[in-house]
Amino acid sequence: MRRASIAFALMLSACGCAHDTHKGPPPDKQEETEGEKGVPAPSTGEPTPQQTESGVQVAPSPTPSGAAVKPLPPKVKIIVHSRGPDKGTAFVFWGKKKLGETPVTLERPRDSGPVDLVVRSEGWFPVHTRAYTFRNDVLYVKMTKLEDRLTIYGAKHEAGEPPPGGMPLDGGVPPPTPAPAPAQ
Amino acid sequence: MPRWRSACAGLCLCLLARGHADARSSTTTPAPTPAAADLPARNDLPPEKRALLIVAGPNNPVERWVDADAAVAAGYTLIDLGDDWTPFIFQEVTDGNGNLMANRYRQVYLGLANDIGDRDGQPLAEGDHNYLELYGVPPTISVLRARMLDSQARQASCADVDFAKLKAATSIPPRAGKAEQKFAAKIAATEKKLEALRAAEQAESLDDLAIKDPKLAKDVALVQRYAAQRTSLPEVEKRLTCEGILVTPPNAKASEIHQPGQFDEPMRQAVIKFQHKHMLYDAAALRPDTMVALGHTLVENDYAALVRVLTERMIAAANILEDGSADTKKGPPTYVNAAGQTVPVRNMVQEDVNATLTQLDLGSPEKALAFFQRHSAADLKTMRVAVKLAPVPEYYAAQMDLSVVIDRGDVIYDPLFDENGKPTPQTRHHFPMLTLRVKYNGKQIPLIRWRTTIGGWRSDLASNGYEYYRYKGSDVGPRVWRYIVSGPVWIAPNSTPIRTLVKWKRVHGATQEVVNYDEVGPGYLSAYGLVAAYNVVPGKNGKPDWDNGVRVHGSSEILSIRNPDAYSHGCHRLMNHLAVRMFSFVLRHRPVIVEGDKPLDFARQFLWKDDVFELRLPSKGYHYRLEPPLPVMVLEGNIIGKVKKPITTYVPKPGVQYPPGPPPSPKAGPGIEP
Repeated sequence: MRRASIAFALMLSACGCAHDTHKGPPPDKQEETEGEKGVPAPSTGEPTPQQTESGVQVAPSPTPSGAAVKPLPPKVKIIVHSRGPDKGTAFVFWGKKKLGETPVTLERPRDSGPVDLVVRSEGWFPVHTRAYTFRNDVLYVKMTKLEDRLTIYGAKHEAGEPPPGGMPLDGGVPPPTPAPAPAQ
Repeated sequence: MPRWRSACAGLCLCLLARGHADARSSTTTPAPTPAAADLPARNDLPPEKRALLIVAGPNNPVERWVDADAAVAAGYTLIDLGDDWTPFIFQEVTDGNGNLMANRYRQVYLGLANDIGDRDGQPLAEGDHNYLELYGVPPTISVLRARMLDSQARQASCADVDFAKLKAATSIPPRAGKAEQKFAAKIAATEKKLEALRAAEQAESLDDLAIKDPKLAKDVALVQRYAAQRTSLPEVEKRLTCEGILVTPPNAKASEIHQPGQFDEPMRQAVIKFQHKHMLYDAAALRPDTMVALGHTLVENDYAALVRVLTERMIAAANILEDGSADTKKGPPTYVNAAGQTVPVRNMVQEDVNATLTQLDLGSPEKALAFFQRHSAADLKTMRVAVKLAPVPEYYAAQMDLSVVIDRGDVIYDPLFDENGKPTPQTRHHFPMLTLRVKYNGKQIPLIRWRTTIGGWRSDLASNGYEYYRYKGSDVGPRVWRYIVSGPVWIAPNSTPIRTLVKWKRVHGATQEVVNYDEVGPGYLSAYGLVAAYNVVPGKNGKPDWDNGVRVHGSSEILSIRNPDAYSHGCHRLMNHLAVRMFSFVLRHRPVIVEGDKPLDFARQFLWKDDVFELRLPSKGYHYRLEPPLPVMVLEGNIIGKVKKPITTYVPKPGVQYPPGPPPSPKAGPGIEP
């Protein structure tokens, strides 16, 4: 039954795979809050244009058309644009190889694995990104000026003085005013 | 419900029911089946139409190709030994148009299993091997054939390994350099002291001395143990070298060259490789399980691998799960059968593995070698074998009333450190367990009971860019699995420490840092492993399900599942190969709608050092919808420790200087997923 012929239903999915992002109401309060907090799980619904135009190789469609399936081209095209730097000042690198200034077009064999690229421009943070080869891929790489460092997620604010009162924060001691705790 | 959906759902159900008609059921009276002798040789059939049958001959078992359909009709089960086998969760289906609903991870999986691709789906470097059984990707039978023939060829080079000496030590501590010199000096001093005492006491040996003066027994044992370890280590080195695992690479740096007698980095890497190759759940040291495996010959270990791989293939073919793990000290669980008798739940896996090995005449390493010498890699590429397995228990059906219970075991809410910054004990004695049950005749029958994980204290990145501890518990109460996802993708929340999101990788001639997609997935190293089910509370009155991000999933964090002090972020982790088994079983015994690969087109940037990294995720994985969903109950377990409720605020880490003021609230931070 390796490739069993199974009909399918396509559902709208708005799932967030939060993993360690625990939040929302406790289980014993779910009656009053379910569906309002937490990450919405996949819900049932009709296929949407977004799904049918998703670019996934086998985009399911709800009604059989009977049309012959076209074989996919053996190569895919990857186009890398940069957003921010002036034209002609951002360059795309694939490992040691300089592919050229943005926008860059790269052709790769289909399903030959991902391509890890770096976009560099003087005065801007280099951006490491990845292109995929299971379909044609267009990347718009947002770049950030060096002076805008703190606008990037993960930039650290400077550590400051000890907290007021001179009490050093100590591991294992919860802060004095805990936030309201949802029951586990 | 739209017409197309109801029609599709109906088709799915029909297919599942028909698919299961092949199962060996004890609930129906089997029709008289032709014996093996009645299945004529059909060497004329193409590979996809035939199966290998092995029957007893006058002297030796006799093999013949038979019609696969006829073998199934005769009550045989076909086990796929071919190179393009995957577990059920990575098999692909076609949609209503006949279009393939591709599972993008399938090709990567096959590349890994066949030792031809790496985890990105790119060609494996020459001479490299994927030793991934620990991570849920067993090698193909063809790979095992090559491995076993290679091992046989290496036997001569292993001739000088003294296995008696090797087995003298049950474990060898990982000491090297100055630590080893210091310890050796201590032992030498102790030995000198004991020798003097032995002479003074006129004892014949140190053992006699220990009998005469029991207070010295501990020192005597220490000296003798160390002597055994020093005797054993050179044999371990020889053993790993002759297997081709402890080798110096060409143009090696000094740090890559093993120093004899030292448990240095090359030795540590060799031990890890050996453990991965032989599916040893052990820390990176010469601990007892590893030493036992080193005490076996190369071919013996390869044979063990063959049995493991055949087990997975057989389980998939027989569509069974019971492996004896639900047994208690009192024995296996029982149920009342249709005849009113109380009967035990059988260990179906063990029974069927034994039957398979016997019928395939693969009962020893020598027989396995002979099998591989008879059959070329080309034969194995598409080989299926026919075996006759015992009927499944009567509680088996096309659709089984399955449910899951997760017992959290001992739960500790106490922070990791006390007021003085001293670590608090987090050791448990009762560990979390996952049980899959089937309801039959009004009684719940446990099929498997496996160790899993619950959440605990973890590092969390706050909105101020600093890491704190945060308690990430596992929800309690009734849940369901509506979705099972193969090749799932874990969207790292903003609270994930950034250092874990970047890794070094060789890219087109340069070694550079890249986003750590290993952990994101899809892949065997993904935070969600090879397959995951989503624990959710069903939405009512048209509202969506409530999802707190807790999953039951396979995991590459294998030691976290076994370590008594280890916790997850709230998810219930399973060994990848067990997760693959269980979810494949569930999908084949429940009504399922295949939704296929779900596009995502997610991107997020973050700063690491002085570079920006962009996480790009095109897909969420291959989705199966359970219709109806499968019930899950998470039990509270035993709350031990002083704190009786989970702490929901951040707790600062000792030794870290934080910005002024109290820590941000976890809820106010950026760790909320869209």
